[in-house]
Amino acid sequence: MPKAHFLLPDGSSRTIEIEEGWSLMEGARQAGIPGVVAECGGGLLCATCHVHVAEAWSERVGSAEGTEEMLLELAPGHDETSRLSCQIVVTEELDGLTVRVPEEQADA
Amino acid sequence: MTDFEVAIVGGGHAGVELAASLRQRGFAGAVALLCEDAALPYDRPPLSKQLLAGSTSQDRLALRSESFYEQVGIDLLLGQPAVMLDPEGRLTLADGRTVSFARCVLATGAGARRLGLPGESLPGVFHLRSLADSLALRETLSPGARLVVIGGGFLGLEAASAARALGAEVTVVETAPLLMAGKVSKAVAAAFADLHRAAGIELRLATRVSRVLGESRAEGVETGEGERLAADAVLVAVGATPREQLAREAGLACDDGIIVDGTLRASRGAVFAIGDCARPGGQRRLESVHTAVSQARCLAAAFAGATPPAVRAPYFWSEQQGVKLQIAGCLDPALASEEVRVGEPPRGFAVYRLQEGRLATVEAVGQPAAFIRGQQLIGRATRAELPSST
Repeated sequence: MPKAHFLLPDGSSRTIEIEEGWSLMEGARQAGIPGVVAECGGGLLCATCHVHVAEAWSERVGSAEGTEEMLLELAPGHDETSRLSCQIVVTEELDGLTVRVPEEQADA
Repeated sequence: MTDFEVAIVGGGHAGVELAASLRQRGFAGAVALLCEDAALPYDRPPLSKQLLAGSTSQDRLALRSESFYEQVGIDLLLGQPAVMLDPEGRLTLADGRTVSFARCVLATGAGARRLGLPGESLPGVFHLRSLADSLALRETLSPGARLVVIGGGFLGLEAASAARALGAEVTVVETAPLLMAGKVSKAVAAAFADLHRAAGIELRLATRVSRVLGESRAEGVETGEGERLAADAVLVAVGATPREQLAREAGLACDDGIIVDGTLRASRGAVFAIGDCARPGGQRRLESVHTAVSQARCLAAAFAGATPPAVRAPYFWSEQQGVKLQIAGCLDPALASEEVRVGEPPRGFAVYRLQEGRLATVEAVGQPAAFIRGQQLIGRATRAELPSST
């Protein structure tokens, strides 16, 4: 199973395994990664599963487009590395993906 | 010595968020999560949407994995409804066991309202609240199967959309002359009526169902005018009622929900209530994931001795015919309101409603970004300050 690394606002990190074909959000939610709130459950409706993608992965993950881009503009702490984790589908190609959970979301 | 510092009754969004949030805040006492459902606690909104339509699977809906509960030390008791509550510190479970607690939190949610129609308990009549309900209904939705949905509210219309996408012939019967009556503006109701009709769903508005037809199994419904609508399955989706029996029998004050004070505490003992089953004093009871999660986080912070997070205005969402509908804020029914529409129905527009000169609610159709922007303006923006485009 592909692994993903989450860098957390308190400076710690967590590594989890996620089923191929699931979204990064679905994996993070089941593992209880703090700050990946995912209130709408992946409906592309809120922006509470916002993460920053590490630079080394930005090309493979791709950038936000359309509705996702508009939602991210309204997410606290967003920048050009921002993505909604519900829109990132986990594949073998993304094994080892590293993302940072925004501080602004940790206590949302 | 008590078994649990905190015993949570109910494994929906509220209960799971409370348990997880307590641990995240460093709460060290023993925590139990008692769930009536035998499945791992799951995300409910997809039950009438993606799960029913077959675009997601059961295993993806779990709110946390089984190992999460073990790792953080939450005692998860599945298939174990609590049947009796002693507010002074004891719960009795269905298997006769009792557990003692220092604090009990009721997060029992809401159950499907029954109409009490003749024939409503026949096989082939469905209600939709649990994973098992959704999976059972989906079994009947083969192409060409006829489904009658009683109730043109959010849940009924979401299920109608999913059923239609699976190829079923769908009729929605609603007593009010508009869809989602009392919950959305006329413009939004009309836009969704157009979308459903265009998808081939038959809408019978201002029509009452008087009984379910069939001897050993549902074969259709009869309307108040005596018309018979044939069906292979009937879904009753006429709202929900708070699950407050445990609280009522324990002598706690209930009135369309378990009455709680500003600290979410019920009227007796060390008992609290959160989520769809709770009604903060002087307010209306809300059925909202966001409200359930917010209340859970506030209570976790209080139990852990921390400052509670800020609470945002409640919001709701639906998805029908592939179009998203989001609503923020609540109208005060005692006050007049004025409406401003921006954008073109049916697929991309927003309706802003003002009361006493300020924005009270936002409804966004197919416009998630307009929604978030509008949400931030609630209670503040005047008519002149509303966005002029989506």
